[in-house]
Amino acid sequence: MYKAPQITTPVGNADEINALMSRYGVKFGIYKNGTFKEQLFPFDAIPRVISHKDFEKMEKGLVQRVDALNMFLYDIYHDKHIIKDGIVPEDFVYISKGYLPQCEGVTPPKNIYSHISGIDLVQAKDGEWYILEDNLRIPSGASYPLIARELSRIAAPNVFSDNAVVDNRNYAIMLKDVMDYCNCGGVNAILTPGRYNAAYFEHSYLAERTDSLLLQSNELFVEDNVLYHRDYSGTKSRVGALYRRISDEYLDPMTFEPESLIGIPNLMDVYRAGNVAIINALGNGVADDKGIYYFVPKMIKYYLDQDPILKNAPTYLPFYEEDKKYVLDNFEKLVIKDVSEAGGYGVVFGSDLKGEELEKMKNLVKTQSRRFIAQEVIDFLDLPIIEDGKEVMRKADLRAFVLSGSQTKVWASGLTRFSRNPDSFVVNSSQGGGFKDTWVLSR
Amino acid sequence: MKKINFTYQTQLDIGTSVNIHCFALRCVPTIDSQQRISNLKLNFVPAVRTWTNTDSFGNTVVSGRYDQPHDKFVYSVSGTAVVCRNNALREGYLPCYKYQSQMTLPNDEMKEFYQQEKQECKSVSITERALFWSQTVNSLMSYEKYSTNVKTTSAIAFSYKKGVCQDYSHLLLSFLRMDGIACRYVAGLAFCDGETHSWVEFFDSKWIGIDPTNNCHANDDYIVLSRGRDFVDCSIDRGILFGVSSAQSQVVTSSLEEIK
Amino acid sequence: MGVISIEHSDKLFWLGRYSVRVFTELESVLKYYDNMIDGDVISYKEYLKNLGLADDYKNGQEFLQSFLYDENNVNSIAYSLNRAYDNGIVLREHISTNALSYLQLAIDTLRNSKSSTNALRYSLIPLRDNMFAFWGCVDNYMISDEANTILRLGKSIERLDLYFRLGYPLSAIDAEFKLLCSRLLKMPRNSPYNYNRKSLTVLTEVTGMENYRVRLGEALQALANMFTPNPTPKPQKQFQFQQ
Repeated sequence: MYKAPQITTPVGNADEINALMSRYGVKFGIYKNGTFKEQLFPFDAIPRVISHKDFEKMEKGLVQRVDALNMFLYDIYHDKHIIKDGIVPEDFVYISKGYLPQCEGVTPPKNIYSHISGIDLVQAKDGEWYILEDNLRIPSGASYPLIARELSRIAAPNVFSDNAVVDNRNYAIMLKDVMDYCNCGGVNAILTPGRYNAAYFEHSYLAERTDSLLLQSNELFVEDNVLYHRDYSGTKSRVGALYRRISDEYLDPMTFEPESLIGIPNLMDVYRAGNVAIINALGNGVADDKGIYYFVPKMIKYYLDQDPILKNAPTYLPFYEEDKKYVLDNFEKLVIKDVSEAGGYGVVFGSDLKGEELEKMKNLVKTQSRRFIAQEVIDFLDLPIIEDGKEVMRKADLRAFVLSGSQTKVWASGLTRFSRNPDSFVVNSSQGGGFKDTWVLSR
Repeated sequence: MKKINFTYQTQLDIGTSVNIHCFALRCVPTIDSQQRISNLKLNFVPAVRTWTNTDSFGNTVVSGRYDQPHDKFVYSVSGTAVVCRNNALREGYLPCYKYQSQMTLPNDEMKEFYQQEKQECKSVSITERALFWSQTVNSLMSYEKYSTNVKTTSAIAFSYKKGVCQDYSHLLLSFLRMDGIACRYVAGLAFCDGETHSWVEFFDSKWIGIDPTNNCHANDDYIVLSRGRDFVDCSIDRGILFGVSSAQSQVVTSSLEEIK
Repeated sequence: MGVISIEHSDKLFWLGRYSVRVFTELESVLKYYDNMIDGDVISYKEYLKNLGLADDYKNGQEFLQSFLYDENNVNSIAYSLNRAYDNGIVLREHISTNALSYLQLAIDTLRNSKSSTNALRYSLIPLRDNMFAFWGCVDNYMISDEANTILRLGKSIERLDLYFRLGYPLSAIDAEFKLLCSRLLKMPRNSPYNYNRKSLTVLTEVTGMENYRVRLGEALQALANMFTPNPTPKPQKQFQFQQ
């Protein structure tokens, strides 16, 4: 039986730290019954601890994976070798909602597509780490462990003297390095949909820490294939790197969703001309599609000629007849995911379905097989959390952040999200989960 | 081969004053092995700074931004095109042309219709099949101006059984793609009813133009402005207005004249 | 960050105004509360009269509850504080997370004071502390001279407005007006804070009059018209036409 390195006592008092979080405005916004409310993202004071050895392996595996994904994105939008060589069936690429033909032939500055990759992992009871999902569009959440560490160090300094924990407060520097490296001339800016976005805290906190402008689209404009920002006195200045927190389809109403009022008209021109780095690049959705996930280990082999270091959760594609048969025969022990849904939605456990519901779902998998993937349910290593003063065990995952600039680097921390519902495997923050700090030990 | 003088003009009346106006126009004819353009003139009233790019589908896009109050916007393009559809056109193939797009996604009724109709076509030749589907669309639909709008998908047009050239093209694209044939939407100018026209090109080791509205080959009478998966990729003008609420109307005029 | 967008310049201006409003209202409401201790139980009516507000309050206690804590009363301290926070939250990268935290603490303090068993003014001391700390923090962290000037411009306009209405001594008004002038002169010509000459002339005259209250309406009008509003256009409609 695997024995995880563990801190079983809370670091400082969770109430104290939650009070500090409230003081520093660590909130996320939600809409409830049509009104906007900000609430705290519940913090649990027992950190997740990753041993030095585990992290070394994880780091190598994540760098390898993100490098291959970046090469895949370049390939898909250029020569498509991986399709021509029969590694990835073309159906999976061109039916994916994340594939944007408007990006065909466009090369992003320094060839980097995914600058900030949020890779979701879980640790099984045997200690093995499995990749659950790649997030290459706008992975969010890094700011929470970042500020949680800052506050934990204020509230409980001794714990950090007694344990060799790698300092994670370099995230902003890593991010700024990426922005500076890709910058095509001009200032760095973060584009936010505004105060009423769920992740507004993160947008403004990262702007402060990376010394970037925090802007909304109406403060930016395009002229002669250059992106400009106009200040309050009418002076215009060039923007060279845009960390956008608005999804692809709303980013440029002249190219994508024409009714978008939160985009920047003709931004695509600037990008195409190589005059701005868009972080992350447009069209990345094709690589973090749940259907493409199945092929990532093959990509690593294909592009890097290496064996994948980190494992995917065992996955089946009903698209292949053989897999379809297995999925239908073993429905109750699998988790079925709708590839077009995100944020923990569209995830169904075969064992939860009965009678008519079960038949309906099986039928969907039969008739719309491209829409689904099926995975073996991994026996998660539960983590302790404090609930009403008592320690209880809950499901948790880890979002690791991988930053690609002059080098690909893994942030020595991550966002550990846990489910507050004892019966739930879904740990998404938009579904009421909480978070923990993630420690990486330095020895 | 034909030599044609063309003009195209759009006048946009915005009503009340607009402060900022951003646009992307696909109104300049493409230059390729079948089409050469000379004496190209592009004119804007009010005068505005523009810049030009080529999009991922190979179209010329003129973008611009006008940030003074205005209530009218006119642009015109003119020039001479030398069209020769006998020359083979092979460039510009994208795999996405094989797959249904936003506007061409078939519904169940269309799929059923497709299954029935395809029994009628025994040919394995791509070109013959494409002609068959063009014929099918042409007899299925009746042409009726103003019966549909820019947002009408092929599934909606299929249920109406009437529409304009855009709808004919979308339907043909749907059926060709169900049949596994790579094809694209073409927007352009032609010697026919309407100020602008649309048709389809399918790929049979080279691009071949076919006009489902008139059920004929797109010959030297057709001038291509833009190409893409469907209308959305090809719209001749796309724009966004910033300012006070505005009533809009648009007048498009075009003319073609063959030079003998 | 040095560059200030139109949006942020507007937020800075209103952050200045609301933060001063909180402070000046607090000072004033507590002054009337102090009068009430000695039996002048209707002292608060003067405050309402000065601000031109209807007197719908049964007694001083009800007045205090509303003007301190009622977040729905647009003239309450709670309301002004929330608006200061609303403006502050979008300025984090200008004013710093630390400065913002003092506004959050001020909000928490005011809420706690409502249910506190301590004496009223005692329970509100930390509110003043937090507002001072907020200003000190902004001063310490906000390196941009321009951003500072816009914030202070808001503070000056708000102070003058309230000083006029609440009948502050001419010396205080005159001093604040001099500050306002020096701040106005620093603003770039193309900014939304280009001053209106006529307004400035009126204010120069009024701030020289011992009995300034005879021209109170005119002075308030001049303050309100100090800048010509220049809103950023919002997108309206996209167009796309059938071929």
